[in-house]
Amino acid sequence: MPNIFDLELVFTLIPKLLKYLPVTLELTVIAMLAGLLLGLLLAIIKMKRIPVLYQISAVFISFVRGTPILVQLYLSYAGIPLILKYYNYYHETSYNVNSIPSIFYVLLALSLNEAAYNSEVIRAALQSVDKGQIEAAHSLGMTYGQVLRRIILPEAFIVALPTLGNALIGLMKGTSLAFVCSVVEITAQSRILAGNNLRFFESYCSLALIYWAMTILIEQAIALLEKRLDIDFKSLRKRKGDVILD
Amino acid sequence: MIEIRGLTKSFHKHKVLDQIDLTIRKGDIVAVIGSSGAGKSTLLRSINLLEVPDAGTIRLDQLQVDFARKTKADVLELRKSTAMVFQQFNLFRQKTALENVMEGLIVVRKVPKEEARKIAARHLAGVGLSDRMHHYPKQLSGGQQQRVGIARALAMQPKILLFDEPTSALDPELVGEVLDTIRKAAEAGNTMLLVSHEMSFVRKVATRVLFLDQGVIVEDGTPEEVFSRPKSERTKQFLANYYRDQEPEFTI
Repeated sequence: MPNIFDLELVFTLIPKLLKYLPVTLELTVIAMLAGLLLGLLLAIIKMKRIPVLYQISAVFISFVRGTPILVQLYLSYAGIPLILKYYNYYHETSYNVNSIPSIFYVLLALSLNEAAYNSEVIRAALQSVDKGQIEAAHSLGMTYGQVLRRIILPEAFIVALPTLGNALIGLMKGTSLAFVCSVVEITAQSRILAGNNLRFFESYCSLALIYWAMTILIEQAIALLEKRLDIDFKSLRKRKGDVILD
Repeated sequence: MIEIRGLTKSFHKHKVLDQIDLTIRKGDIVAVIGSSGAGKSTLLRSINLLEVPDAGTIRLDQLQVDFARKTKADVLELRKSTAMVFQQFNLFRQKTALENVMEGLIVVRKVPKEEARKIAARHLAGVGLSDRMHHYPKQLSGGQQQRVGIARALAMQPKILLFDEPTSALDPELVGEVLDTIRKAAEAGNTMLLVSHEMSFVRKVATRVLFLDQGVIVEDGTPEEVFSRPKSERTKQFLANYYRDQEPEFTI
């Protein structure tokens, strides 16, 4: 029987793909953190209805939600060098386009995309925090920043966690598009490996297994985090800690 | 000493508070009574600027604030010198009883963490909750939550304590423990402004009673004066309803 599907190859390819997992993880982690921070900023702009910024952010969010992530990556990859050229022209500088690592274009596009989607989740979570606690914090003499950091965010985080967990999984899978900006992560590597031995299906199978395993890991991590943030669980731990102190 | 002059507040076209003048001396336990919508809570919430009055001034010892021209610094300063106990307790849900009391000490008064912990534990012991320090609000009964709320306010050592209907959201059988806690705080010499519907409590604990009606103070005197010899018709009417509820329905 001819060796039409080489099952063994699927598993021997996995370690070769895993060498590029750090790139996938780097893209995921940085874009998520940047997306959360910028998303928080957008959410506050929307809640406080800050003039000018509010309109700009509304257009930005609409644009990001109205265009495919693939197109956004194209725009970033092709557009940033143009901006740099204009900058060089008007400021008589000579920054080199090639000195920008290609991973930057991917991070930019993914972060902005993530920020736009997260901002709505974050806004809803922030607004779900009950007014009474906020009033109590203000009545103690806390500034808005202190109330936000110490009271609103910890509570909103718990509300937003399951949705943000899904966003993280979506983002991790979304990094597979990075190859259009010539960044080699696990998807690009699987295509390179397949091109060498023309075993495309085996290569893609290994790739799929890695994404699947990663997704399950993230799901488990989020579930664990949710459990640790549960009040009854926290209370039990604190009371146990108290016993040790005594 | 607290001096409020010309405090006025409207919601849309409805005047909730109309040119209120009020002076509270140190150690006074001032109770505000009146029917719903009389402006009692708004008066209280104007003092720490949770509600922003349209006009008027307040002087709290050296701090003088004109409501119409307040700055952010004024607001913070005023809030630091006052503390409020809320009808709905408003404890921080993600924090234990101890952390609830520590929060203001650490963040606002900048007390070192270990010291804040000691102060907080002392105040929780003061309200009889030493065994509930590491419980979260949702693990406490309403009465216990409100006692944490009182400890949180007391720990800030405010110049005046503001109580906004502290027992209205409680089961009848939990009201007593909270009232006892408030009485203890009053006996400890704290200056208080208390909005309450607990008439018999007010009569026993307050040193001064205000009757507020349609945004105006219509009666101001000792509990004895206000409850036994009210001057205005409106007060008599309000208290008549209250006394009727106090009477037994029949006697043998």
